[in-house]
Amino acid sequence: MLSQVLVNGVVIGCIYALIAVGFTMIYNATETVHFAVGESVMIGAYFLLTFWIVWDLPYLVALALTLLSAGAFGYAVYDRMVSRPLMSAGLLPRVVGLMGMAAIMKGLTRIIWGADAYHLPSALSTDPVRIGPIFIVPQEILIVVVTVAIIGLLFLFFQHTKLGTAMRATSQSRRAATLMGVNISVVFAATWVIGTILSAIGGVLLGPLLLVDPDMGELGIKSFTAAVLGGFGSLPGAIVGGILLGVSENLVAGYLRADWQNAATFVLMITVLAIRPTGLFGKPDKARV
Amino acid sequence: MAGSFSWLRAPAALLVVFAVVGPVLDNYQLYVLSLIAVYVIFATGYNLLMGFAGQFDVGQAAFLAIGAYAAAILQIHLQLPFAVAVIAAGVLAVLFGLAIGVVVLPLRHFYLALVTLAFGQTVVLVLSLWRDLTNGFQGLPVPRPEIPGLSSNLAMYYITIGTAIVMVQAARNLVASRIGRAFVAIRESEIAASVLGISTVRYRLIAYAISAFYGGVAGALLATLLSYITPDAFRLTETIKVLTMIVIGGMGSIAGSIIGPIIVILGAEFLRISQSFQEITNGALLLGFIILAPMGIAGLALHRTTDLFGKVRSLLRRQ
Repeated sequence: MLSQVLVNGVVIGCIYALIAVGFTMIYNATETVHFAVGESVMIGAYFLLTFWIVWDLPYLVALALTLLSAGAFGYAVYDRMVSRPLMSAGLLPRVVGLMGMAAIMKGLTRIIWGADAYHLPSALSTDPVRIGPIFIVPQEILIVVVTVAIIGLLFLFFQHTKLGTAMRATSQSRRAATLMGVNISVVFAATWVIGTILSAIGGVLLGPLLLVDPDMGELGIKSFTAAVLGGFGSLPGAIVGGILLGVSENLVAGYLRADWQNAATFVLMITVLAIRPTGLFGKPDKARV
Repeated sequence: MAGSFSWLRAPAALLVVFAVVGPVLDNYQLYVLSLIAVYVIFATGYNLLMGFAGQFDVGQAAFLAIGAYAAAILQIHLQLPFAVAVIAAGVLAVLFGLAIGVVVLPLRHFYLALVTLAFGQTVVLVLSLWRDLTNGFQGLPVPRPEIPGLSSNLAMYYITIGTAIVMVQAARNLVASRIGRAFVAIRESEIAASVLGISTVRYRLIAYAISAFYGGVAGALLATLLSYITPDAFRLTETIKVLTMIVIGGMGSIAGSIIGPIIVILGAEFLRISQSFQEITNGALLLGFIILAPMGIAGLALHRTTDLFGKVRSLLRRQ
């Protein structure tokens, strides 16, 4: 029982981790708390649903189209319409702007796709394979493999490419990065594109596990919780936080009550912020006068 | 002597006007005006916390929910009279407001938003799961108070309008007082405020308590006005609706807390638009105002120099 619960927790935790990594990248580079991250997950799932099921394209083509559209959406909507006009306005107006954008996206989704919940089939077989005492579905193995691969690629990107280095520089000090010749607009655009693609991948992977509906974006709070658990602004923290959250949720669902699962998220978030606001890996937050 | 109660003139005049107009209005007009009055109370409380004290809260619908359910349950299970139930609902909301206030004391800016978001979601979850008390997703019927000689709708109109005028006037007096000035000082800089000898702990808690009271009373009145409540009505969408109201009206302005609800509710009622279109228009108004006129309509009226067209032009040029 316990090992099964842990495995399920790690699998779903991997998805939370992916979304939280995108969320944290965006926070680090643009100092924006992405309050519409759940809606990015939602549109990822809806894009795949449209391209794959409605338009009947082959899975890999539909997936590629989904990721491309998500990236374009991240640039055109989040970067150009919300983030940039509010860049000089401070953190809270940007959060309010994103909440407005999230409401628009939710309403549009209800109008375009309807209020009903859809089931997104999984890419691989859903017949469980037995490994020792635990059952695992091929789709779940795919989730873990995809997560590890993406995080590996991101690591290489940040360490070994010019753009990745520019992004790290920007998150340390925007002004110093500008003085060193980093083109900040390119960094912002790249961050929103990559961050939105990561959320969309989250939606693609979560779709088969949950129902796809216009309120799906409420799970954005899970990536906030993952980021808070690991310490806001820390990329390794976001990964560990995501997996911890997945495991805690499954422990609550497995040993207490299934419908308390979401309560685990809220309680964890409030407890961590009340006791140790800097999370597991965060640096102490110094007040600026 | 003559000037000392001059602040009473405007609310007294308004009370008389609304009292005289009441009997000639039809049931639909009474309902819309009552609904606006309820949201004016809610928005005023939210604005005291967000706009004046600068505490970024995105779980304000939780206080509305607590007030609504408290009023319903106290009247159904304990047979408490309406007025007692409404005040008790407000007091219960204050207890929750203080609890949240204590949790967020060591936190600043967006961390407040995260905690209050989680709090808002938790309240909706508890209301959905605690079926014995709340009847879960099915919802609860709420009794209407009976005033002899008045129709139920006219009675609700007098109750909501009267409460709104009293509570808005109380808020006006509050922001002109020592407490209101302390709120603004904390909003501008907590460090500077504490250097001036303002107890940030005390005034932040006061801000949470007061706005929770406004939310709780508004919730109790809303539940009574609608006669039926479900947990779904108090999700994040509800907070965004009121956030839209205070952003359009003007953050940190009592007048703005009246203008915002009038625009949002009349807009929704006159256009007869669906839930999804309401979500879209609210979102678009929120985004548009925060970019072009962050101080809302009250801010535009106050600083006529705000050059809207110049702002649009410079935004387009930057693209």
